[in-house]
Amino acid sequence: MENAEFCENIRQYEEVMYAVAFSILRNDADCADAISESIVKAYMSREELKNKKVFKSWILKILHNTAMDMLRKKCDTVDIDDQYELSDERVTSEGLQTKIALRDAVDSLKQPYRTVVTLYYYSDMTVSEIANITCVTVPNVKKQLSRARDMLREILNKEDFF
Amino acid sequence: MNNFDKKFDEEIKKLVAEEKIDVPKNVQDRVSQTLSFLENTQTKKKKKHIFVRIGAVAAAVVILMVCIMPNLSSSYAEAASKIPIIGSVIKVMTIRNYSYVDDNHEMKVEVPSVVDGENSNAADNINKDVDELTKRLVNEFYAELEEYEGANHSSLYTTYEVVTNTERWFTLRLSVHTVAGTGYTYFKNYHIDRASNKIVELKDLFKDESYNKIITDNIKEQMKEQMAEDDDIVYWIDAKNPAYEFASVSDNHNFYFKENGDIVIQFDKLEVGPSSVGCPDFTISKSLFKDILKDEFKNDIP
Repeated sequence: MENAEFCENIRQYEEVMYAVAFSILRNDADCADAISESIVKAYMSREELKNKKVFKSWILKILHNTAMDMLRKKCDTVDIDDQYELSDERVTSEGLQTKIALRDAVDSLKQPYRTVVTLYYYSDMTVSEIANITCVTVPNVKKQLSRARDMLREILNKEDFF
Repeated sequence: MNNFDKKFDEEIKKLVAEEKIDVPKNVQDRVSQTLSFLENTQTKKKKKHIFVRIGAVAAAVVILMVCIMPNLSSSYAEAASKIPIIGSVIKVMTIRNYSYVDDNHEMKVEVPSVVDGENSNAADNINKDVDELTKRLVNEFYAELEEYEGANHSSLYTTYEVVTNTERWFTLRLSVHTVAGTGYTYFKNYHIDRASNKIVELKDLFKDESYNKIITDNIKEQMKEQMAEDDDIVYWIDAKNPAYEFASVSDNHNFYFKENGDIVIQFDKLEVGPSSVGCPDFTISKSLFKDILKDEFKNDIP
């Protein structure tokens, strides 16, 4: 893959890469580290990517592994979930109080549901792609998604989302 | 997926399409910085044609990892310092880490990759086997976590070690330790005969099957000696419980060579004795089996 094409692909998936990294690390500085590291790892092994159509799931798998590795080191001292509390209301730029956004509902889920939901809804990955990225079997991804749907329904119904 | 879920997915995907993900400026800046760094690196690489001429793709990778990554990420610098680069030709490095930690569970899985300068199938086959084994272990860990909804206690650790790496012989050992109620440890040794670039198992070392009786008898003898010397040591060789009794070594039994050419036969935890004996190993003197070694293994092993 040519350099320009590689960079273009990264730019194209920058948002989903951030969403996936944030679902794991929940901290912008760590996300920047994980994404930067993943880009270099991917760049170094870009010759191995034979099918350019799978670039997105390939880079997300590299990112997922990198972020999980960073989290492991971090988890030795800090409980990541304790750092984050869901706020029911957010102040928009216009200063108006709004109901929680879908993103906040997703962020309130526990792992592995947060990452699975992010990969499925935000990154548009199929169940088998998620299984490959997160190294979980397909039946387990389906099980995780099913539970995540139930949890999201509960949060969103409470918020009168639909 | 039922219609209820399908409809829910459609609604959520509609909401996702309306919701923009704002990538924070610091993340955007790091992405730009990294990409421009790589662009500049490639320009420099093109000027130095010697790299391309010697076909050293691996060398370029090493340069990127050693020179560029530590400048971009402090966590990478820390991780890279732990990558062992061994021997003159075969190299082993951690290509992946799986991890999970919560109050009741812990998983730390290191996945090694063997890089053989000879470009042999042996290294590829080992990597494939290691990859499949570690993925299976990780999947099972998560499956159990799901099944018990986190209410169980379990741990999974795997590490690796390069036992031998000479011009003639290469041995990689993968160690797996699981805890779910009781702890269980097992090993998997992989050997490459550098002369033929083939994976070798215990049976492949010998001309005929007589090795099995020679090694098994010697191990049983050593077990008996140890039990006679120390009452606390117990091996399952006295037929009190035939289901557990150690009958014989297997064709692909875990082993490794000592520097003097003796063979060490390793057993997993609970394979030939209770937990108290751990993972026992027994050294088999070369003098016992040298006559039945295949000609190609008679001399410079390891």
